[in-house]
Amino acid sequence: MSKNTTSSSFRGIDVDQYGEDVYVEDGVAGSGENGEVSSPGPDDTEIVRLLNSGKNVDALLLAVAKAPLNSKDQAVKDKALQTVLRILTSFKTTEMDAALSSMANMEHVDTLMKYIYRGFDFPAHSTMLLNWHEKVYAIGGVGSVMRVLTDRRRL
Amino acid sequence: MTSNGAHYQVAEAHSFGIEPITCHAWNKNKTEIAFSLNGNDVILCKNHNGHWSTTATLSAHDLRVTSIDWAPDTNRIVTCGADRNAYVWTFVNGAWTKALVLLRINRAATCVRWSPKENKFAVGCGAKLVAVCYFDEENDWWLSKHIKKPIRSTVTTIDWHPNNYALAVGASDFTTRVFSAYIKEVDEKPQPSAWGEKSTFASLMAEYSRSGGWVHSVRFSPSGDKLAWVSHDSSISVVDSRRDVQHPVILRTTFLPFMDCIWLSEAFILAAGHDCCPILYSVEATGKLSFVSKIDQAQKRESGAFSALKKFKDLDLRAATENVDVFIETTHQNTITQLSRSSTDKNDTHVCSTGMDGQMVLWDVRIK
Repeated sequence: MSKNTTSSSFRGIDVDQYGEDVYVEDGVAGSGENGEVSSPGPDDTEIVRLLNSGKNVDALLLAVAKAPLNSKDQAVKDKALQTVLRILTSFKTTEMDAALSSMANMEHVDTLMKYIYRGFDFPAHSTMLLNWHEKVYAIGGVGSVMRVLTDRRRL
Repeated sequence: MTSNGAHYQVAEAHSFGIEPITCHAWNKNKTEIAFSLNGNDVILCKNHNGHWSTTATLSAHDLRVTSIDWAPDTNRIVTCGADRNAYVWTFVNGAWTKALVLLRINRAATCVRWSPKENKFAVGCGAKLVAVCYFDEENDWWLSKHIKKPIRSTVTTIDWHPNNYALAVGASDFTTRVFSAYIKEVDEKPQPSAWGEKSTFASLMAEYSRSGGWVHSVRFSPSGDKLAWVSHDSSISVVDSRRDVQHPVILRTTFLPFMDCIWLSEAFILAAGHDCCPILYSVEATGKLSFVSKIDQAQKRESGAFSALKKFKDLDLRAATENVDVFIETTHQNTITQLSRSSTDKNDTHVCSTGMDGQMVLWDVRIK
């Protein structure tokens, strides 16, 4: 028997590159409805100002609306995540419902869900995030979780 | 039974076995159904006094059949499969005879649909193209022309506009497109529609791209003015060509993804999928898309009194030693993969659904 039978390295060969029309992932398909190619993420000073004056809800809405979904720079996304985590931690459990009920746009609910799943990377925040998850799930349902899984625009 | 916004009734729930029903199609009178049980054969069944009996088995494919369509007027069946082939079946002298179609594709065929005039059909496939097939009288065979650009991934679903030349194509590149599938050999010169004036074969008339999930089903409304599609990101999108042909209205639902959708009228869409239950949506004239109701009320099946028969049945089927309830609260016990009209009357909203649980359910839906 041939020596190569057990080798599975052929699976790593990209056969599609020899096809006549190669699939090239472009940024255009992934850009948002408003056509922007990259967004710098939420403005930190603005967020801090809102948090300091007790406007947690406004800070959250701003951070979610300005999420750098189309950015290719992971550092920008990481920075935005830390900002959102800071906002989420500053909420009291009793204030969560009010914040979510002011979130009229379903797209923002989905973005928040994305941040929650991304935030699970940091176990220190898990308890807080699980509380949020429960509330967001009540609004967005499994559909919201599906959109976290399927969307190519990761956070 | 009544749910908020619609009356419905399960007219019949029939199980064809434990194999999933991959796809199905009805004949013109809705008396006979063709379906495939996740295998290479297509089975034709007729209802005789409430009992479904097999009338024919169409065996030609070497691999799984992926899609079936039955042309109502010319009474021809077209099937396509993972073996990269499509066959057209005609009923001659009491038997179904097949004709091979020259698809010229190098990946599995995924979906097939007759055009409204039944003089051609389109086949979507994994080779990132749609083959539009027509009959060549001279050579006595089915030929195909390819729509390639700019489809970037497997074509998962197709649907014809009633004008017989616009073709909606959904693919796993997250994009829904409308192409012209005008074939000068068999078609008359097409009239311009709200979808665009370009009529040369394979010209792109509309494209709707967003970073959602791959598209599972596209459907034109009865008039052909609106186009609806469902994607794997649990969303339903509708674009109204008369209102705004550029921007679809997208509804992000709270449910699991839908696998198929159909128009019950110009104002109502029924969608079904991984939730195992058809769900009704309304489309207002302003374009607003909203949830109406689930067309299957959650109801707990009574587990029945303890019986020796049930105990041994459970033991035999699923090695259950205790009395466990494995049924979910919907009529379908697994994902619904396809919806179709099961009534000859266009105003009648009788719907047939088939799914991975091997069940065919006939629904009698009445919108309030």
